[in-house]
Amino acid sequence: MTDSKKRRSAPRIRLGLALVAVMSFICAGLPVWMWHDGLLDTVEMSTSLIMCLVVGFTLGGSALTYTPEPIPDTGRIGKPVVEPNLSWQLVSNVVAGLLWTAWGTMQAVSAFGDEHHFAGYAYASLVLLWLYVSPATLMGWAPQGKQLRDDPDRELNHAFRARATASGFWVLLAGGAAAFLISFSAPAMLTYVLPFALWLGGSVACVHFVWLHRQADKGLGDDG
Amino acid sequence: MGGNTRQRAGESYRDRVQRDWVRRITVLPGATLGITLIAMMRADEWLSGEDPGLSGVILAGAAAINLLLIPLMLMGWDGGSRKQKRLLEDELTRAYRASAITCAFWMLLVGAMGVYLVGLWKPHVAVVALPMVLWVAAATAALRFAQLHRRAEREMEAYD
Repeated sequence: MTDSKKRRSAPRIRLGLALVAVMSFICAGLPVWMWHDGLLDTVEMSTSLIMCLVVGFTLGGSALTYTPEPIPDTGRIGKPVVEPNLSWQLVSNVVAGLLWTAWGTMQAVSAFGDEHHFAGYAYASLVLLWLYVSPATLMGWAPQGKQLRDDPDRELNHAFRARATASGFWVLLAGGAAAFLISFSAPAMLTYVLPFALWLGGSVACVHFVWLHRQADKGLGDDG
Repeated sequence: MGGNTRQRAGESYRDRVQRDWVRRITVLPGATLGITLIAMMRADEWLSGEDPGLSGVILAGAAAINLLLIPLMLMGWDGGSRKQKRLLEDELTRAYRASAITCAFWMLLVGAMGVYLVGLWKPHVAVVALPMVLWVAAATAALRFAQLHRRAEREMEAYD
């Protein structure tokens, strides 16, 4: 596909993503209605509701931040449009990740306590999915992050990513060691502490990457 | 063999220092594996109530801190490496370190996720397994770094 064709197909892709996101939000009402009529219990209703909302928010976010390849230049040297989009995506992933981690962790532990093992693992998978998304985007494995590979500042991104990952690794290692020591008082604490250690590790990597880019942009602005 | 010996004899002081440093990094995971296993056993005894003494907790804490030594050395933040920083730090080392740490980061992320899932089912097992996951991640960083260094050395020798 040529560059101009890719750019022309971008609104259609964005529209498709937005459409599925809207459908997911509409579908989110279905489990609530079924719960109201006594067809689902509270745990099953909230699990289905959250699944629909996650799909809706994820695809809605992708529709908003989708950028066609190759990256269109904004006119400013070395300042393609993909980097601010990616920065916003990383920051929003970090914030949303904290909310989902806090909520999902409590729900997973509570579901396991009530012997709802399937619901418990569904909540836990949701938490892990969010914990995976941020570092995967940073590594360029997510659809939005893939565009970073074609960035004119690829070398710079590579160096920033390496530094950011090292920060994340240290936080994750220290967090894991801390979770181990905290769990000595009560082993069940591990299921509360470990997801936050994972979130913190991924988040530090993402925020460090965004911060390094901001610093580089500032330096570029000062120079020219 | 003879070519290799001549090559080694003719290598610079910097090469020798780097090789010794990489060797130390390679050995470190093996040295810390013992204390990690002991910490796991003591943690198991402490959690199951067999040994209520504080020595098990202290040993487990020491093992957890000990694990930080491997990446600390890999980053060149320990005393010995800092003294020789001028000789150890170059573009290639930085690139290998980045690759090794990224590999370890993912190993730790996936391992900790696995421990979390196990912890929902059996918290006791997860707590005992956690030091091993931390060790595997730290060892991955060290061994990946050593592997990249060795490969570069072999390629250089073949080129010469």
